[in-house]
Amino acid sequence: MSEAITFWLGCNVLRHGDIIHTCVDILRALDVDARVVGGPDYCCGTSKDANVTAGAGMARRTATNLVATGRERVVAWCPSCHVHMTDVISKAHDTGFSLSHFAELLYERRAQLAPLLTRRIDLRVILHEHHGFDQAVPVNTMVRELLEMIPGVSVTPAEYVTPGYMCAPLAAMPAVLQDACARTLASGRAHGATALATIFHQCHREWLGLDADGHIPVWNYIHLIGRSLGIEHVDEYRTWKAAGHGAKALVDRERLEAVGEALFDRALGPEFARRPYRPDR
Amino acid sequence: MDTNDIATPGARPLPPRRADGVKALLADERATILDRCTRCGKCFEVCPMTPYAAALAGADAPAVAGGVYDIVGGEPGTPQALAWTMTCTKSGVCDRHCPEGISPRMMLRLARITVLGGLGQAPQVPVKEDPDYFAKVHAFARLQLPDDERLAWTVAPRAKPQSRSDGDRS
Repeated sequence: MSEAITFWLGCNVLRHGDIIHTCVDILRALDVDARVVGGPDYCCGTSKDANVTAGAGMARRTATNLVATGRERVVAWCPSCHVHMTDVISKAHDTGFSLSHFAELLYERRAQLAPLLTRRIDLRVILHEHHGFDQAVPVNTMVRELLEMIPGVSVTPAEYVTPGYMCAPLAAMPAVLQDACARTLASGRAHGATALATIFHQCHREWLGLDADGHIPVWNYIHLIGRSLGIEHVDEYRTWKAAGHGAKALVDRERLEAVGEALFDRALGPEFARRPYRPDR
Repeated sequence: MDTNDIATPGARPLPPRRADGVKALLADERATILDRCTRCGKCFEVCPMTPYAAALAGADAPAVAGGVYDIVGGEPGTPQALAWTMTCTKSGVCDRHCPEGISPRMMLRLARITVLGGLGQAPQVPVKEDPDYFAKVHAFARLQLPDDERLAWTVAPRAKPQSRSDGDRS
């Protein structure tokens, strides 16, 4: 029977249309009726610690908007949104819906998912794990098991867990990110990893730099599940990351004008050029 | 259901509402922490971020945790308390180890809000917000989604505001 959910993206996964579209296709394959919502209209406000009045207003607005979808179950992509909803918003506003993480939904439906994973992918994967969200939802174990359901995929033993929720705050702490990359790569090499899998979008955004610099191929776990299901969407962020400061030349004029060239130069270009790991640093 | 029970994943009920808005909730959390924290320093001892902050090398755990407690209580932060507050990336390892069963992760968040001036106080550390944060989100939505999906997924219909949520407006 089809289950109706609200699929709550959060804000920053909008960088990765391929991840969103793959998730939507996976939900469709699992016969889940998903109402997709995300972006600033549905921002949880967790990033507004320096302005609680603004963050509180965003929390109230988002609680109201999620209630208005009329669906009893919200499935969050973003771990930060999930925790802010659990820790703060639900205790401060009327919600009336239950909350799950996307990996949790897949894990819950793994018996239904398994026979659909028909395409073989020969990869030995090191999983990039964090401490933070795993305290709330055991995503590290869930994603590990989901990946091992894919024919041909094996996952190396977990040896190093990165501090924090996701790698976005670590991007402002280059020494931490550098150390996390070095330790993860070393563990991967020791166990014969041929690829690295991220769980969260913010990690994917940063760690794609490892792929761009030739250290190891990097995939989000959703890419691998999707590929095994026969679902593939073009990952433009990967292309732009690889191009670094040259990314603007790869974006068509119509979209560049819609974004604004000044914003692209000021904010997007430097993001594409950023690298999490420099062996000589 | 155990909130971290992998054997029984599924739709988790959210904690019930107990405050009128976020500011009231944060005030309630602050009162709980100030009432129950013993400043033992266990949270600092298990934190995976402390090795990355030079200012915290050799620090006395109860003193640093006590300094963060004092920030939450309205006192100016010591250099080490400020350093730990701003080094926190919400790993949450501390929550598993607190002998009083409170959330040091929440304590550090309240301290962070305080030192950033989030509730209108004078900031104790430089505030570094990305002025392009939401502009980038909108930009990527335009780059990554066709217009029909972007409008359907990211523009919320105007919903009736919640009636009991005026606490944050005061």
